[in-house]
Amino acid sequence: MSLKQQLLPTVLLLLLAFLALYPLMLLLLYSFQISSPGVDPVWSLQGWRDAFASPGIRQALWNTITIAIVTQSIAVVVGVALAWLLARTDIPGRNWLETGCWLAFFLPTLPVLLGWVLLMDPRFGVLNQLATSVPGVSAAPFNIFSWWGIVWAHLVTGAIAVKVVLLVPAFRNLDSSLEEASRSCGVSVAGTFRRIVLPLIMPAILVVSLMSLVVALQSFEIELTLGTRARIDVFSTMIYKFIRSEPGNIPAATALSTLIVAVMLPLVALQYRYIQRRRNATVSGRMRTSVTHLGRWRWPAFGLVVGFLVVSMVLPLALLVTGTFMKLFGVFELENPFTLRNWAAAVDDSLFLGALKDTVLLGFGNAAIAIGVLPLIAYIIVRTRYALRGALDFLSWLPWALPGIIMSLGILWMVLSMPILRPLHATIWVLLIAVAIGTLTVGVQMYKTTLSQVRVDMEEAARISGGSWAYAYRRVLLPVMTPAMVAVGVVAFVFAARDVSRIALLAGSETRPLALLQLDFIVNDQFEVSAVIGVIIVALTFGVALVSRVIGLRLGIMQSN
Amino acid sequence: MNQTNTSAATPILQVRGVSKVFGGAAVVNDVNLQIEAGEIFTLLGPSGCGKTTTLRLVAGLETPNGGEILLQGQPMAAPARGIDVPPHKRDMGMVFQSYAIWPHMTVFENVAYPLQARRVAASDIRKRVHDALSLVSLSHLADRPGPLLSGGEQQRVALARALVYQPRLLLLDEPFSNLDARLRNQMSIELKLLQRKLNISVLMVTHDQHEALALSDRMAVMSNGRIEQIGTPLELYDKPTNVTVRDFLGRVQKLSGKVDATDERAVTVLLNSGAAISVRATRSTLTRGQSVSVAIRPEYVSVRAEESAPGANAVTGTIEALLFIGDHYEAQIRTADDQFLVLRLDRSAQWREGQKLTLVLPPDRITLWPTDG
Repeated sequence: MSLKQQLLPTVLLLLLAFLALYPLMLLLLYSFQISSPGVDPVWSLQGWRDAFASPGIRQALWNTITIAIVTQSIAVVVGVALAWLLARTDIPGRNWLETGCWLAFFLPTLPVLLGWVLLMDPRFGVLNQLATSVPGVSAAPFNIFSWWGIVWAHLVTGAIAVKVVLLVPAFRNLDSSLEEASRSCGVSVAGTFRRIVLPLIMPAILVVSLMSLVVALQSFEIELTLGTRARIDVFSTMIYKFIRSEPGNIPAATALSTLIVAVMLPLVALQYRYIQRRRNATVSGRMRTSVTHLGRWRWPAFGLVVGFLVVSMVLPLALLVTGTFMKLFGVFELENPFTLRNWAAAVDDSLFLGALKDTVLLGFGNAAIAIGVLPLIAYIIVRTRYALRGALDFLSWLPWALPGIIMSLGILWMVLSMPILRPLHATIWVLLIAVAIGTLTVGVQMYKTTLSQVRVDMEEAARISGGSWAYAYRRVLLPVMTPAMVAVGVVAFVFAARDVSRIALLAGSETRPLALLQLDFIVNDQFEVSAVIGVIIVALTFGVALVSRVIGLRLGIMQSN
Repeated sequence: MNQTNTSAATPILQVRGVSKVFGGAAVVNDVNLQIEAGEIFTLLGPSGCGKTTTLRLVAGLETPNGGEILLQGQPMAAPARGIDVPPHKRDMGMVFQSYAIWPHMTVFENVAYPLQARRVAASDIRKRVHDALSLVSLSHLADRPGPLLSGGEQQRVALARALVYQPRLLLLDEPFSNLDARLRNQMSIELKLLQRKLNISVLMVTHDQHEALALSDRMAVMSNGRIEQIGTPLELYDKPTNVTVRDFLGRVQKLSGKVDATDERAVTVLLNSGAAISVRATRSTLTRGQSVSVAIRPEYVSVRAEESAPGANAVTGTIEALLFIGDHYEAQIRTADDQFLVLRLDRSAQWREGQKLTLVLPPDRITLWPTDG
């Protein structure tokens, strides 16, 4: 490669190193100093001492691990079952059900969570009211503000949906003659699933589980919303509380973050290695894709999937919308419990319009980066001989290891410690950087997968026909990658619109996107207004997902011509 | 009940009036066939003709919409009676087009799988797997993982896996299509030897006429979901009863002309060039003046290198294009009345483009087919 050809990869490498690695180093460094940012540093172990001495720290770490493991164990079993039903059986309406799972996957966490608060609040929860109206049941059976409440909230807000969405393609890539061979050898459907399908799909299940575990360990908003009242802390809420308490204890937060990163990195490295190895496996060209006939189990299976969609989407959203029209969130006993006041209050709120603008800006800004920059990074990693492409790959993976709240803290340090970046503090631009880094790993991975499916000779043919690399990229590669770009763009938009943890510590009072505004209202127990904002966020993300699906369909038709 | 007597009398497989509809279209339409004990029966047809679906219906991987399928007289599928035995209870062996070797198991484990499913004792399994593997000469690869096998080895493993439990019927779905040409010939011979040795009944599906002709005891040509003709390979090759079978099996050259005269023993057809072709096999339905195709397999045409005087059943022509194939030439020949024939010329004579030829069509090798208009 000539020097000129190395310019673009090197610029991208340095940019990623600065944005992903530098904040991390600052974190480590500043965990040993205790003065405020901008003032001369005072080096001390006080932060570490505070972190370890704080009451409940051990319990918090224990909670983090146990909640993640219990949640993921349940989610894997249910997710594998649902994905198999959708991908490999003749379940009725499978296309509709799969679309439903996609929507459930895209749904922001907080609105669904609010819906479930309405259903399972120990005092006014609808399910509790129904249950106590049954003779013989005196105490409310459900309490969302509890350890099991938190697990339940994870399960219905994406822990299962993400597995379905990721495993359905894996199941679909399985040659069905492998199953049919087992059936004709004299083994039943269940035996075939256990002895053939499950072992073959196991690598994919492992990767998805490991990935989900990393995500689960980073979880923030569910624990903040539900755990505060139940006095259940996890490490991310501890970090948040160290900083947000009066007076804030940034050194302790930094020290705790450093510890967590040290724990997470090996997990992520493991996952990275596993995926690298797996990519060598090729799918054979000739593949049958017929499905297993469920017979009399068709409708029970259908009921199971519909039940999941009801619990993770229909029921909470219905209650969320109802909640926006209630005088007192969840209290139906009032003489006239319904009102339009909340919508008026939310829309009139001086912060609302600004928050809406911020969210839309963040969403489209992040989508623009995801469409403009991330394909280049993926291309360099997959297709060029750039000497440092391995480093680029690693840097695109690193943010995956970092809990959003820690990344938030690292970027905060970066902005405050560099005079040139100071003016960016608490502006939308810092938030955009934070969400873009958060989208980096997923986006680059999606592009890498697409690129490795585009045969090299297509591109080589374009080069031989004349024209520079950039010309071939624009005329041949871009059109082929357009569907992937639409998909990544949507993911980026939705991610930016719903993200809380990555921006929680960076936003100022002037820049509070809708997701943060909603969190503020929840934390202040203003559930009614918060529900209104939740509905708006859901509408926004569904709208974008829907528009992109229409665009994607049209692109699909163009391709088939 | 005397098992030996009944099994000698009943065919292994009976398919009676079976139909399968996918999305409103009948992919398999009223198919009837019967397989006797110890024979290789082949379904031949172009892709999409319904042959693979028929095989999958027999295997139980699809459910028919009508008709019935009987294995040794026992109903396997009979929608009218609500019978549909699942594939794992039909006791058939199947070799898939992709071979479907389970990649997470070794060769031994692949072949042992059906025996384990039948709860055979471990010591017995070891012996029977070993026997099955030596049958396909693969004993030395027992411990090799599935993904590290070549195409030919995969096919042998698939075969051993399908045979190890002595199924009542062996189903083969395009068994040679994933092999290269040389391996294909070798495996065809091995398969035929193996089948003769085990005396097992086989239902095979293929789109390759050479495979079908070479391996079958009896065969059926399918198109558009229907069976066009059933018979031995020789019957189908030499006495096709319809145009589809005639054109699908082997090559056919056609010249068009009009019927000039008919009597009890021969029909005479006049080509535009004036050449008279007389045909021994008669079709009583033909009438004078009717348009017909004179069809003959190219290997029956005898070619003379000179333009001789018009004789009986002789057509004159010119070599337009001459292709050297290796052991023979392929020539496109334009007849005096501007029709085209593609023939194989052997290397015993010198040929050149532009050369005049005389072609003689033996009367007992010609078939006549009425054409419209």
